[in-house]
Amino acid sequence: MINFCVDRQEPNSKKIESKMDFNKVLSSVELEKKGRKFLLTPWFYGTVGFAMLISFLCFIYI
Amino acid sequence: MAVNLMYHRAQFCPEDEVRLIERAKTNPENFAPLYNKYYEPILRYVFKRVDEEEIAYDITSMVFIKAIQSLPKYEYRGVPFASWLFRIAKSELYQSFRDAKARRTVSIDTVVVGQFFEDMQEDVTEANRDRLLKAMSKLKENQLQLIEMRFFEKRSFKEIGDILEMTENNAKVKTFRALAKLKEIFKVIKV
Repeated sequence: MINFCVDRQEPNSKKIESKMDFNKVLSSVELEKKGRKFLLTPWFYGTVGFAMLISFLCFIYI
Repeated sequence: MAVNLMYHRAQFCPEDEVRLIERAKTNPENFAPLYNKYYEPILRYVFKRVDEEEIAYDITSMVFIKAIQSLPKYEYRGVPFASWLFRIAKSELYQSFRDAKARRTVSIDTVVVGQFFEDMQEDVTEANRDRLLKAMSKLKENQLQLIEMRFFEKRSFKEIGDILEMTENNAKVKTFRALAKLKEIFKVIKV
């Protein structure tokens, strides 16, 4: 369902400028990069793989 | 049709822009001039299509996060950088509609509606306006996008084509078809 807004007031340039925060954008990019890097480390694959193996063995033998 | 500069503040200067992009590719901190230049046009594009202002700011931030992440893959091939950003904005918008974070909204202007009725030789009345909204809601999403960009945002066919990934001519043809369809539905509809 589409919502229609007639003559809706747009935010003015001053308000838009006050909402700009490039540092926040940069820190989000860095954070995502770190998260993605962690997913690629042997630590992550090793731990998850080991846990899955244990769960599988428990499921089979218990 | 005159182009609305509110949405096109960022005039296209390929050499300067390519230089800025190449610098930003080496270090994301160098993206700041591009962020400052394009934040407002992108925010206004998003704002017109969502129901809540705060969500528009969130989506705009996501657009720039995605832009910085994808920048190494960006290559200048004649399409302005702004259009590349608008494409990311379009994709983020539709993602937020799918995730039900935002509601698809069409912001319309009574002046433009007046021009439409003048063209149709219809009176500008409340009933006709309701008929027009009903007709617009019956258009396909891609037709609605074209009507929005051309008539409510006054974008050039070149820009529409760049954003929607089609040629300028194709944008022109499809826009006129969408307008014809809108008029056809409008005539049939009764309030």
